[in-house]
Amino acid sequence: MSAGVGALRLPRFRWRRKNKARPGSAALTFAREKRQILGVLAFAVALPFPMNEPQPEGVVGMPGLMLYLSVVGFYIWRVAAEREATLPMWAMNILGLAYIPWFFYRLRSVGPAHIAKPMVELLLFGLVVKLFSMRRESEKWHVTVLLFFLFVAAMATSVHPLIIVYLLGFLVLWLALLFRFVHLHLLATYRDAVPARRLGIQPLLAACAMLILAGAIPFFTLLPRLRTPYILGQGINPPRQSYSTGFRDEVSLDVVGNIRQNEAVALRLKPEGSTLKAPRMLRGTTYDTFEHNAWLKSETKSTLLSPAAHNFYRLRDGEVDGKMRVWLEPLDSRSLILPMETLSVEVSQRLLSDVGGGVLISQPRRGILEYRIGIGSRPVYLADSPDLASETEPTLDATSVSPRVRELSELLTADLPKAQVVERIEQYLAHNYAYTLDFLGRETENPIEDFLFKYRSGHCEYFATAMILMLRSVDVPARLVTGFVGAEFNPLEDYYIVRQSNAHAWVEAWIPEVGWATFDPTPPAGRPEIRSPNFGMLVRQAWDYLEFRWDRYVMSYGFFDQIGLLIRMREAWRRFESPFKVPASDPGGRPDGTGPLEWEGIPPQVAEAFRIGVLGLFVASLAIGLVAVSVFRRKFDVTSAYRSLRTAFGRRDPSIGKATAPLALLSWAESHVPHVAEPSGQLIERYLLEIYAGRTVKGSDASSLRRHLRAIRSGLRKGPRGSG
Amino acid sequence: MGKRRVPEGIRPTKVGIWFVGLCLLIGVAATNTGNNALYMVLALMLATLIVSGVLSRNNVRRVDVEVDLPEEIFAGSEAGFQLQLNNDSRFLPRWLLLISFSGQSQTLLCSHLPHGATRTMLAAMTFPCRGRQRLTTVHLATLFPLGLFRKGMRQSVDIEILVYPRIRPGGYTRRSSFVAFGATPDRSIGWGHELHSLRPMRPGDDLRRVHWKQTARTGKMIFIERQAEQQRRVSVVVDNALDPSDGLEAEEELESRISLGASAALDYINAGFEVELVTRTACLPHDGGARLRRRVLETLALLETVPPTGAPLVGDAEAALEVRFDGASVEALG
Repeated sequence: MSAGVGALRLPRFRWRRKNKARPGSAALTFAREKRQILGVLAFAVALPFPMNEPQPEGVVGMPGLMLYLSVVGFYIWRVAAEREATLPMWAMNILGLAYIPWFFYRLRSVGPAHIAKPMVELLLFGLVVKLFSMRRESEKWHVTVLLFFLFVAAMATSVHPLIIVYLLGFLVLWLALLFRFVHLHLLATYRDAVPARRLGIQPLLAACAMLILAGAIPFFTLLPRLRTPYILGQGINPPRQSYSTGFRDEVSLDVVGNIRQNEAVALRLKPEGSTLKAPRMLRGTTYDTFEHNAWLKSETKSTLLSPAAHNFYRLRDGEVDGKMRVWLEPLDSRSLILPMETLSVEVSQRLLSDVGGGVLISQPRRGILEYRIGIGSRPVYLADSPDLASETEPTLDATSVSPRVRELSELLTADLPKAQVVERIEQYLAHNYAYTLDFLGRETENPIEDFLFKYRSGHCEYFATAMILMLRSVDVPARLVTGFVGAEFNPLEDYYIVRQSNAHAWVEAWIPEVGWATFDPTPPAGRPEIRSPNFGMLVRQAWDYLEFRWDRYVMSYGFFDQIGLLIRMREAWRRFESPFKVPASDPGGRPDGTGPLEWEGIPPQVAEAFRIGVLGLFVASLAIGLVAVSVFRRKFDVTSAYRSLRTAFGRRDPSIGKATAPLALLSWAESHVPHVAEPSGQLIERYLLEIYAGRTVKGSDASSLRRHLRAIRSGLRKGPRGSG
Repeated sequence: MGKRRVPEGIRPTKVGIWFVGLCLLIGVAATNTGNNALYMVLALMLATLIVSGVLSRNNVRRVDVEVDLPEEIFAGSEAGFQLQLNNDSRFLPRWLLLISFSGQSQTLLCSHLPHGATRTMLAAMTFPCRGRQRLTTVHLATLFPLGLFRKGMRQSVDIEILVYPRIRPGGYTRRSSFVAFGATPDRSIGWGHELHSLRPMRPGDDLRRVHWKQTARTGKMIFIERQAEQQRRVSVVVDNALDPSDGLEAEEELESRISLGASAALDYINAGFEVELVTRTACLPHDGGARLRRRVLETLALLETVPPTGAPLVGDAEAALEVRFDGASVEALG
């Protein structure tokens, strides 16, 4: 007998011009079916590549995919039409030779960072060539292995949650392929003694796929993770970098305007407690130098913060009103986005602080960064006081202030105390200028002066920059702050979504009596706000919920998640077994010390949950038992009655067994237990009639059989009447 | 018949070994890169291995095989064994079952066996030599569902089979001139049992053969003439003497003699002869019909060798023909 599928030895064949299935030529038909299956899989396997990383063109661009699909579609059509689908060997050789320089050209052009692209292209080319060069039966396994590697490549380069649909689809296709290959192999190798027209395998394959999925979950959860989760996500690769304002050392004036049109999620916040509201302003970082129409940091040096405890950093003393968990998407920045009121941070990285009071992480991250923050009631400013006496104080640097701007600010703030100067300029800008993201046709020579005197409209960065320059012109220290304002609430899991479109720029100004204070000169129309829910938003939020879960629990799942999971499992087990354990000093123990079996000492909620759990378990067991009994209950018929009779007699006489003939059983009954001979005779007679004459027992007969059996059992138990 | 079922373990096929190899490869890649998509693929592959193994194991359980033997089994000829396959499972059908007898028979495929159903199939088996043979087990195997594993189940059947000697192509009765011999009536007048004619009594006729009824009816002495009878008796003499010092060739020659003897005996029995079987260890007197056929075949199937002695092997002296299968005559008749 063959060792297995691998030892497949179907007849070697070549496709002919018109390969009609000949009668009895099963192998040919089988081979065509296998080619069709492989063709369909080859068609489907490449579909995700344009959507995969690196974006925007994907691993394989749309033109490349269309070319590949056309060729594979042509192959499928040729096979379905029973036409020749093999290229001559010389054509294969020419194709192979032609591809070598193209492959090296691609390797050079994409660079080592995107080596996946030419490799996947090579695999696709190899698959197409292999499809068209399949001559032997064993070569279908070569195609299958190539398909598998392409499937793995499609999976490994995807970060999209919809890849799960691809995964499920391919799981079913793989199962169908393997089953069909085995079936065809067996049909071709052995004689099918009982040919079946329909196998009815589809429900089993569906169940099989579900079982595999269920079985894969614990494997995925527990397989050891030795490295940080590897994510080819947004912001990692240069073509898709979407810098948020403030997340680089230099930001031009147009950055925020571009980001405001991006709906991608920047971070998610989940309050740990129902009373804690979403923070309004999330601070990213600050800039103090405005040169050549761009904001810079005058000093990039940062100070290492010392943790108060392991992974715990206290930024400022104060009473924490509540905690909040943050999941920060990759933003190609080391800045930690924190609410203005943040007092403490719990994060698994070292933290640093820059001169503007921004908080940084020590290592740039590639995946989602999760951290926990303690929120106070007032905004917290970590930056030092400005050195007002110094000429080099960057927050007072007015070299970029034009005379017209200085004139305007002096005009506006004449005779006003310092404390009111800031508010006056803020109000002036907010009420006299319009918000717009349309900068088409504007000159870029002197954008702030144009904003103030010519166009009188701009976005938040223009408003903030203009305010800062005006403040500095009247000797008020000020700097630019970038971050996010507003969020949308996702009711599906009670968390807030902050999108790139929530990016904002505002001003921090120094007021001698107060210190640093926040001002936002942008008109309300230009401020991202907490949005009111509508249907479109709900759909988006549902998608975000899915994406969040995918990113958080699948893509970013790593070693520390495993540790956390194991700890939670241990805690759950302890909670479960705690009702059974009573400490030695348990006051609920009996006075005589024989054993503490009372419920005292156990929290009432735990006890109640335990009782309900036990009751539920009992009810579930009962229901399962009833269902099982109804399913497995043996149907009462004359054969089962006869067997019961034989068993009952067998207990009296060990020589009675399966080999005892029915009439011998009757004669034994007449001689040994004559008081039950009559019902035994009737039962045996019914049995013989059914077995040898084909008269089946029906309704009323069945009840009489039961009566006879009861009488026999009762007679055997009680003995003959009058015997005492 | 015992019905003990013994699992034969689970054996990976070539595809299964490839699958495990790919699992290892993906495992190394996943661990090395930390890519959770690869972990997902790996988890699915490992779950597939387990589900495939469980389904494979379940597929050969609760399948009962019953064997019906053919009436006669001759060495070297295909014998059809009827196999009855019962799926005792209450819920699940069985797929892609492979059935064979201890590697002796061709392997049969049962693509689909619904739950609670019974299927009958015919397995052809060839035994190379005569004598008692045992069919100890029926093998059930499956590659279901994905061909990654081959799961086997051995069911003991423990059947003893008597394999008759190999039968050579017939033609003994046609080939020899003694086709006319035997206990058939001859047309000449003789002393047989069949009536030949009635004639008037002549002087010298035996009075015991007067037909008294006709004599009374006609008033003349009527004499019964009977047909002569010829013997249709054949002695098949098979010499089963074998010197232990003789080699393999002698053994093969003896088997050949037994095979020829059985073939000749069956030929004569089928042609209506009374056949006597003479061997050194057993002797069957002249007889005919199905009963003798079975006894001859059984005797020759179980015939054992004895050391050669000087005494010649002689059949019944009254037999019209003696067909000898000893060292000298095999050539001539075979």
